[in-house]
Amino acid sequence: MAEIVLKNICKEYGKKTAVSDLNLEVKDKELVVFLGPSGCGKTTTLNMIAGIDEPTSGKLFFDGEDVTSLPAHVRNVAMVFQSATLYPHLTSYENIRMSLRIMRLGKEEKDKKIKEVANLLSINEFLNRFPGQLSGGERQRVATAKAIIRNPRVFLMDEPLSGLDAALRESLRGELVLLQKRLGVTMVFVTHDQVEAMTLGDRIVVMNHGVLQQMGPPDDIYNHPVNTFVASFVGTPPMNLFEGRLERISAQTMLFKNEILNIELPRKLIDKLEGSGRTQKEAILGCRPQDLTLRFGPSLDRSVGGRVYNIEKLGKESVVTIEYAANQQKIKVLVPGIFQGGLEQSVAAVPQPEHVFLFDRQTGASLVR
Amino acid sequence: MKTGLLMAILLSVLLPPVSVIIPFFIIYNRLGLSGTLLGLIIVTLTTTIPFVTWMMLGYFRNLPKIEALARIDGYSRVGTFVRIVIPLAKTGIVVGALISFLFAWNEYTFAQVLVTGTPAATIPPAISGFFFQVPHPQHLAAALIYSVLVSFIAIYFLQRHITKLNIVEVLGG
Repeated sequence: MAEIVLKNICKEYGKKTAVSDLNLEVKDKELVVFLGPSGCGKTTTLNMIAGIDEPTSGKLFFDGEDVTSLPAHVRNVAMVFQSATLYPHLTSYENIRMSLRIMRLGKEEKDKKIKEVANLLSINEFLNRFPGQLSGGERQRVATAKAIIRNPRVFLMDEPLSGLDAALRESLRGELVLLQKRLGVTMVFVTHDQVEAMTLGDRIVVMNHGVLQQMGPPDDIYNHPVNTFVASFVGTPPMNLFEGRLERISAQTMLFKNEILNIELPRKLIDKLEGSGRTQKEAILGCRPQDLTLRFGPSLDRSVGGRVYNIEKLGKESVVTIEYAANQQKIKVLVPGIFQGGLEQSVAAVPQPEHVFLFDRQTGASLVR
Repeated sequence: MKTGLLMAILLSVLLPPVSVIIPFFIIYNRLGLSGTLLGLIIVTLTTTIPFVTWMMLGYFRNLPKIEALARIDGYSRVGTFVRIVIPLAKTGIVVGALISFLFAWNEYTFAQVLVTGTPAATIPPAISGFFFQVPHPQHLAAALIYSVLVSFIAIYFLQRHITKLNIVEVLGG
């Protein structure tokens, strides 16, 4: 088992920078999730940890040992690939045996080990089938078996659940976490699905355009996003953002204002703003869809008034998209239960001041961290 | 670089092969290659290599992306190609081989010009020698059957091979 340290890792493909100056640490037995949109450099980073790609510059350490230029199989890592890639011309058994190839083990010993992992993942019945004869979930299990049989120092997963249907994904997700805890391996998991990231990770690393945005436990990422990117990428539906300015009214009160909104900021937020000395005028206000109160009828002061543009009824709650009159911008509001209104109805949404986030208008960085 | 090379290979089939027969004949006479099997092999390759390259390119591109997997399992780049990619691409390679065999087996124009009447003569120019033997048309018929028979046998055996591999491929898909 291992602790992984990435120091100033950069990766360039020709002129294109895939990962720039990445510094991070994965603790022993920790499950870290790399989260970001496609092309953000998360898979490249994973490939560098695996040893499939070599960083352009920077160093990579496993347990303090420099492994930057070691080939993949010497690092003793295991990897499960997108949609559980297996050798199509080999049976499940032979696929798993491929992982033991570089180990000097006798035939019986290998067979014993394979039977063991097969039991662990309950794949005994399809050991003699080819990957093409297996369902997505079964294939996923075989790929996992192939990965864990080597007792790897590091367990790497590259969007392994992306090709599966929702129900299966959920159950396999649970199994994976359980397996990771039981085996006590260090695991790095790459995904673009923020629900997956939130449910799996001990810590989440959010990346965008090859740059690390934020690293921390899921609740920290969700409750204290460092910038507008993290704020709008994590959480479904995404956070609503409004551009505006901050206005000091008196020593005690401060307002966030734009053409439609006029929100009095809570004392706690003002203290934080003053504490960090960031009391500039221009700002972006963020408000999660569940932190807006929806009312029927025309807009009053301090509310976003508009027409219902779309309704998604999810049963327990409804997502109401409102197009507001000013400039056809849209916001999303989460309403408990089934939304009773219809399309084109005029409604008003009021952000709850105690749940808002504030960001710098130029850089998008959080003002209250 | 890669695209440039592929385009160059493709460009070489842009000319109709017949149009270069005379240049080949002259060059071969100077090099002493006319009337030899080696000379004929070289000429035939100029048409089959571009064709098979492009065919195999499509085939390799459609193979599953298992290179990274093979790297993790400890295969080198060359090892991955030899031990994993080639076994996977067996079907494509067999088809490529079969097609270039049939090309070469049936090639008439170049053979007629370069090797007729020499010990290196291939079947098509040799058969054409029977055309005007009026008293013995049965010789022509026998020769034709012989020529068809070999390609038939080749296809027959490889065909079985291809279908078998195809099933594994589909199952493994």
